[in-house]
Amino acid sequence: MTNTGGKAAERYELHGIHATLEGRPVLREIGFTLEAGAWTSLIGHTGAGKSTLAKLLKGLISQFEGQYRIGGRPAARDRKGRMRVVPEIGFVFQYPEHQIFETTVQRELSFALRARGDSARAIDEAISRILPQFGLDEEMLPQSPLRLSGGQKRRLAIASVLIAQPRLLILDEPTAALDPLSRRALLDLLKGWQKREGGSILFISHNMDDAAEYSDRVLVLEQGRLLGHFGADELFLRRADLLERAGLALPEPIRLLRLVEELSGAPIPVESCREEEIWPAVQAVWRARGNKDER
Amino acid sequence: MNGRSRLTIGKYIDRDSALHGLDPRIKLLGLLALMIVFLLLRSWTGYAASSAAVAGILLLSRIPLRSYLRGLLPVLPILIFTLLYHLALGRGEQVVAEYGFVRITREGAWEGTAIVWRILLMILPASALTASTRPLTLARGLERLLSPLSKLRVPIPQFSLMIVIAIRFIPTILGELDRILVARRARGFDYAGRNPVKRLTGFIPVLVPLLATTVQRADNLTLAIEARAYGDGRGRTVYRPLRFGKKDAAAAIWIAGIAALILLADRSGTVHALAVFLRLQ
Repeated sequence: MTNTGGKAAERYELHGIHATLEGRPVLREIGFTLEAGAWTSLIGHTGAGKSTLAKLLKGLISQFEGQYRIGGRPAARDRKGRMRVVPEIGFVFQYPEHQIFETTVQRELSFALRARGDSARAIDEAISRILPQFGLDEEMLPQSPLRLSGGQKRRLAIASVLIAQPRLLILDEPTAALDPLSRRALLDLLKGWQKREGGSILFISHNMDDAAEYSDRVLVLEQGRLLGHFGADELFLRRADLLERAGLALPEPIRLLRLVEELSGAPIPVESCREEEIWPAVQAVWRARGNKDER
Repeated sequence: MNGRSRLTIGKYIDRDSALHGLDPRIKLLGLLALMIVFLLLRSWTGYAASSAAVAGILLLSRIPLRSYLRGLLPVLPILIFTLLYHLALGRGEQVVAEYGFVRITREGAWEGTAIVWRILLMILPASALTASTRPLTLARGLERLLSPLSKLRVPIPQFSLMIVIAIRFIPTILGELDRILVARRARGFDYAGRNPVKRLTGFIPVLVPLLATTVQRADNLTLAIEARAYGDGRGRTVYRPLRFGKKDAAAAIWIAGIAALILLADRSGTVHALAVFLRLQ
């Protein structure tokens, strides 16, 4: 995939958003700005309104109150005042493999490019660039996507969205029902895309380990209300109370950190919520404690 | 885009009404009896009496008239076409107006109106049946009504399970369809901006994955049903068996009476039928 170049990531701003679904309020007074080029996680309990909020950003929900601005301008609406689908946002739904609908892998990958009228040559080039990035090979192109394995289907579905080079990629629990290794591999792949392309990611999850490991910023949603918009380190290291209020658990490494702090009786100075920074600090304290015991 | 909200025909509407409380078997048999009577209608007095009976049924269901009218929308083109066809190409001698090959006759106009009226008379009580009976209850009622056929080795329990499963999976399949349509929209497929032919042809590829996932689901369901020892030879029982009560017997008598009165009105005039009705009271 080529670098998006001039197509730099944009800011997505929401102000005072209210939305209802079948007469039931699902989003209330939502306001935040998605920063360009950041990995923002949207976390919350099941039914908190995460998926609705994501669909609203993509322009798939047209009935809502409040302001939605993209790059400083109001989001586009049609003549009847309904929201238009925002083309520069890529959207990967829950269970991405269930949204495969084309007859061949080639057609599935090229769907978005054909819809926007790219030339056959440009489409071929885009496909040969994206295939190896997602561990798919050219022999699969004429096959029916329904014959691929579960993991391949999921990678194909995500590749079919990323091939259109979105500026913001929304992922609605993309790692649900994956084993730990596949989950890590998929998230690393997405992180790689984000760094390489300078795009933004909105990652919806209720897996706190993933959110702590990959996010720059975190939005916490509870029963349709935004509890806050934080830096990942601040939320996971200093605002455990908010997580508890939203019905969420602390990430595993931080729970271990707190446990060791309690056992050793002294706070462990850690500035990042990433596993790679927490382990050495915890290990150092534990080893020092072990040495003391031996003496 | 929500496929489920568009489905208005045959939708159950929860109300506390006399019609809702009846046994589904009585409702099915009653509907069948009325349909036969409506097919036998010959004069306007019969149509008038039938309309009064249908209006009564709709009122009994306590479902707003608006819901019934919305249910009629899909058949509206058929009704209009039937009416126009008989108006324009009807037989008969008494010509009311003539434009080229279009010849509007008094007989054609009566025939067109009568057929459209008859279709409405049949659709409205059928809507009242589906709106006042949960689909699964209806399926169970149908199973019980057809059960004598199992003596002739017709696999009625299997047939019934098939219907129940089909009804159960309508929302699931609509949900699946919804998901595919949203996924296509999210990847730039624009419905609003395309002409009707393109919209229709664009819809065909959706059926492929829908069919594939449905077949896959059916496979899994077969395994799940077999895993729960379905078909080991013993008949299945039901948690809430249907009970034929006093009010059901009363309803059966009422329906028979109304059907007889309609036929009487049709053959010997409304006044005669009213006289009989009043004498019975």
